Amino acid sequence: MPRYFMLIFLLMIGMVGSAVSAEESAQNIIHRILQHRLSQGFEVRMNIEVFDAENQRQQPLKVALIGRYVEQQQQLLIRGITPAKYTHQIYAAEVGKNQPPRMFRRYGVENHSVEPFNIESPLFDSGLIAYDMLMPWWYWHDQQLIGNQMVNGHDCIVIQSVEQPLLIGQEIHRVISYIDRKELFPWRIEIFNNEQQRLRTLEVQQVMRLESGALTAKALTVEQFNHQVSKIFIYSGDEHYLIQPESFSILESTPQEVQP
Amino acid sequence: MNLIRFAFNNLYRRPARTILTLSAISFGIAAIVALTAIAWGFEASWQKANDARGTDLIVTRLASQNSMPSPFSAEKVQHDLLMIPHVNQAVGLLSEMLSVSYDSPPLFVFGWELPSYLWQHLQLLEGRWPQTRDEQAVMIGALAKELLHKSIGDTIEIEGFSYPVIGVFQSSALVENGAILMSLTQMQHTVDKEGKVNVLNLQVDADLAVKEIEQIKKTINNTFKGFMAITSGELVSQNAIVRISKAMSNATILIASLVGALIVFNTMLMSISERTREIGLLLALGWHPRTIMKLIISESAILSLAGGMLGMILGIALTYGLEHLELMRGKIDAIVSPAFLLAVLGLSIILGVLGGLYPALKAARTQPSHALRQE
Repeated sequence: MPRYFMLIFLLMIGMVGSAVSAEESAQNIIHRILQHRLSQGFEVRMNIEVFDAENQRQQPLKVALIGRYVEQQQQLLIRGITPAKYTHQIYAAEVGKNQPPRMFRRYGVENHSVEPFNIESPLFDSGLIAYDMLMPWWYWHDQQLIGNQMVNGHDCIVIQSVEQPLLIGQEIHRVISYIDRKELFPWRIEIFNNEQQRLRTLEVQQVMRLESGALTAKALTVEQFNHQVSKIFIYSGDEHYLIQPESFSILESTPQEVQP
Repeated sequence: MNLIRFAFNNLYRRPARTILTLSAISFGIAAIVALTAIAWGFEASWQKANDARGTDLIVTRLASQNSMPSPFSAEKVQHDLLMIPHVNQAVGLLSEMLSVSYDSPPLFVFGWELPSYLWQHLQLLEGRWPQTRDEQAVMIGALAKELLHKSIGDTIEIEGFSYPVIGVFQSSALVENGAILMSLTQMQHTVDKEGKVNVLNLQVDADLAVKEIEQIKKTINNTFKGFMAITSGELVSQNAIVRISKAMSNATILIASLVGALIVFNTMLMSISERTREIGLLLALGWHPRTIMKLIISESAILSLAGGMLGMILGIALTYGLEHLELMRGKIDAIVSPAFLLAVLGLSIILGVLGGLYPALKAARTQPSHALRQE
């Protein structure tokens, strides 16, 4: 029976542990981050407000996430709650240490058809992206500590993750993470493409402590290259969500196969 | 001339400074009154909700700092709790604060086990109660009806599910009046927390003494790992929102007191500096330094007392205004007790005396010969 670990939802992982020491390598820090991300099941509900480049607010939306982060594999089920146009949209994504990330979308109320979906694409016309939540860059080979920086008053170490060569269809090439030295919590993440263009920046505004004592994000923003800003607020959650056997069945299905 | 009248006249001679000082003190006192009344009212409203339900003990997990206790699987814990002698009922409750429409503030949505004693304290105003735990329907509190502009037969969308409103209820607790209520089964389905509850409400034998209830509490705390049994008062005091509101109110008292004392101090210091010749003359005429001290302290005490009284009126008005603000309706049930107002008045007098102490000492030590030479 695997040990029951705490919930760490999304990319904004909550982490408890000793502070990063001066000699600690990037690989070692990442190993600790991944260990602390482990969870047998969690559920999170979020409210997302999207502001376009002119700062015009779109209709707010609600999204539910179910996740399971085990030793070599992370899975997410993402479901639109409201408004009605998103209610039946369900996505499932998976990343692992020795496997390419994959994602499927289930659509249709009656047929439940399944089709592949680009894991780097925005969901629900917002800045919510499955790739960012699963953080596969922690599995990349090239990880470097590139300095220290204060982020909103938090003393952070800066880790650069680089992927070369890229997988087919992969756009994300480099990620810079600003990790809290004491809490091992990423306050800011910057994501770049192969042309060194910044695609988006994720920044945590508000955190809360989980039962385990770990930090997790309560409010964060995602600013995309087109200046669209998504404000995400976690309004509900379950740190001990019981994953059902069929929870991630979408990932087992062949595209276009009709699911019961 | 009477000393107090003399002090009044001195304040009256500089109306602009007196009014400015009064305003600053009264705003500080108003903030203290309003925030404390709101914080106490919030706590009392939760307490009232728990007491009205007739719950003797609450079993929950309170390790996380969320505003709601963490959800947990109820079945096994519920069964084990009912095995404890004198425990008659262990009833599950699941609650969340959810936005149910874009143009209204988030509301409490409660899921209560049906049938259970939790429903018995509510008064049905319109419609009917849900008949089965599987009935897809909601009840709304009288205040929630007003806030949401919903009536019997209308539908409310909660987390992507549409529920018809089948009844309107009234509760003695404001928290419940502004809430939406459904069966626990429906709530669990709505928020995807099948089989889970936030708290288990325990009812023990009616004739049990407080000491015996304490013993049951101890038994639960020692036997059920990861859970805690608490009284409704303890639950409320540990609620994150209650803790935050009380911390804010305490911080306001501290800051406002400090600022108030400094304002009085500054005003009185300026006042004696301007009146050096006058004070020197009074001393030369035979006034005792102690009388000069009394005069200055009387002036600062009058200032802070008047500021305190104005602040109290302003604070009560502010609280009343906030209670009736559309955005805050159903969330504030402020408590302004006479004892608290008296304490605030006492605090403002103490601030005045403290703020005026050093200026009074300084004035009393004035050498008449030096003072009279000043231009």
